[in-house]
Amino acid sequence: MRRAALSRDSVAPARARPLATAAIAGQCVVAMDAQPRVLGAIAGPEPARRRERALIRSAQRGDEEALEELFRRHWRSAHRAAYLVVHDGAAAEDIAQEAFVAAIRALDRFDRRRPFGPWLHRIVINRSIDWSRARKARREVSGEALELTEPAAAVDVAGLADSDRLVAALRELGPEQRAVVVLRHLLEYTPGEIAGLLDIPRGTVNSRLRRGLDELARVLPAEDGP
Amino acid sequence: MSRRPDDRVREALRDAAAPGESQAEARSWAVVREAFVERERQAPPMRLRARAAIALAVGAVAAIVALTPAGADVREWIADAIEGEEDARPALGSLPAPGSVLTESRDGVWIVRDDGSRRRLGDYRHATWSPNGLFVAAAEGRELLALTTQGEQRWAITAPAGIESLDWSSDDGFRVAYVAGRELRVVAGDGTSDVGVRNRVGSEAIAWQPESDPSRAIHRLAFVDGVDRVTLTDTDSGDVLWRSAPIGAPVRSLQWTTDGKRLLVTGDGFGHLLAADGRPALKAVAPGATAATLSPAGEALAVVRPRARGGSELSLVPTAPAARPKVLYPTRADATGTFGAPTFSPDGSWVLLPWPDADQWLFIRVADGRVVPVGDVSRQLDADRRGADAFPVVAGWCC
Repeated sequence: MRRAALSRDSVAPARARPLATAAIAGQCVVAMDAQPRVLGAIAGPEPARRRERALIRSAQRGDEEALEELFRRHWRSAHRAAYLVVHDGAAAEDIAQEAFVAAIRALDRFDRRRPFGPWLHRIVINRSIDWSRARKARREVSGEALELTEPAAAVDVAGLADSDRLVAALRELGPEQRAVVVLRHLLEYTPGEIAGLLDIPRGTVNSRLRRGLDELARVLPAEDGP
Repeated sequence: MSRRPDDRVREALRDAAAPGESQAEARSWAVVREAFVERERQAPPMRLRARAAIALAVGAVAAIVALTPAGADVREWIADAIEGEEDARPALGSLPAPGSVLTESRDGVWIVRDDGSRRRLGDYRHATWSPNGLFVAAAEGRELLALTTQGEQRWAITAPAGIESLDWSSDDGFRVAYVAGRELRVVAGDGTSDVGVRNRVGSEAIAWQPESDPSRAIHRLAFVDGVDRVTLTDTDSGDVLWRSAPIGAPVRSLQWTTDGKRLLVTGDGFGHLLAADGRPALKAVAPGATAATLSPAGEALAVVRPRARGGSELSLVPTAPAARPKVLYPTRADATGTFGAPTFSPDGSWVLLPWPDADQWLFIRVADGRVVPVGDVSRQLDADRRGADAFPVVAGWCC
């Protein structure tokens, strides 16, 4: 089966890439005013916030260990969030990787008073939505088989673990809806924060969450209760 | 007791690992770390900045001296009328700025690295860098290929007609656009989904618009509609976003600033800047130019034009209104030939100015006009010894 994923500078199957070295000045540079309006809650307790500020300050001064700690803190959530929106491992890796590279290029201008995670997640989620839309449009144009978007009925969820069922069901939602679910239930942003991150009204966030949750709850087996 | 649905969804999502998560993390850390190291290399530590500022000030004084009319006369005196710059280096040593130069000629496509090493990628006619310089898209006849920088082929497709130009999307690398015959086509960055976008375009000039918001990855391509109208289209949706007013002359090349906010439109003897919405931003920015190139940050153009008294010159033309251009490099009035299209280094500090008739590349420092000439270029990038016909065109200086 031909791989449908598109990746940054990617020509499959090479996955270990040398680097996005010094890009042309200005390319991929992140405007710091692009940080989400709503920040803060996700950053966790104050000691953790202080530690993160210290890490960013050290990284800005060239401390590679500080950068690595920042990376390790945020990589998994960024990568997993991308994967749950795009449902393509290679693309998720590219998107998360590129978000970090963009962050490094903008490191000098980063406002340390703001938490790093929401800014990173905004990049990851918006790029994931764009990627999913582009894939859909491309297939519509080319008439290519929709190999990754089979109807829900085609997904045999019997015998799967809850997480596998959920991933399969999530794939049936639109990318915008997936993004809202991931932001809320994986990254634990509030609906108000999600509205800020995605630049959409809070009511839209709530309705997407409600509909998404209804869809997802269907695939989870009933539990004994109460 | 049964759990609430949203708690169950939350727990299930937390357990839903992406495939190959650990390997992806290791690969990505290597890339991120390298980007960090590169950033450090480009930004000197604070303690060195004072010294750099002094050096810059000295350089500025030197530039003032060098760029006065008297300085220009001295430079003219130095310039060799017949054979280009004297004391040209006989071989390509290290490039004066980081990055690698991609060239195309009748002898094929070559990469010249910043340490001076060279690699011939193969018998291709056209080539373009991927956004981060990790790959090269190359074309010969109807064949379009993606190559590693070692020349290893990753994918290839056959176009419906001979390929005249190509461009790799500048931000995310997800698309390669190319003109085959007169048809504009787009293929995904992994070689899949090759589709036609426009049956007939006005010229081979195409340019992906860089996306200024890093959280977006939208694929907008500028091309020439008819003879002289620039059009911006979203290649994913097929929507035409705008068409410019007629430029008034055939358009030969298009180039965006790296923030995607301005588009340089050039043709024979003219250069105009369009805003991101297609309206004129600055007209006649390069009158009489035979070639013009935007600096990476878009604050200036490197413009080649003939001098009134004979010979040619390279000027730096600021894109800010009312700012005055300065001559970076003039030849003597009786110098032969003209220059090729200038190319900025990725950091914007140097301009590579090809001089085919002298068989030289001139590396010219933007800050002070310092010239590092390299001679015998065609022989060094001419595996088959075809001579001056093989003088290379610079297809890009990347990353």
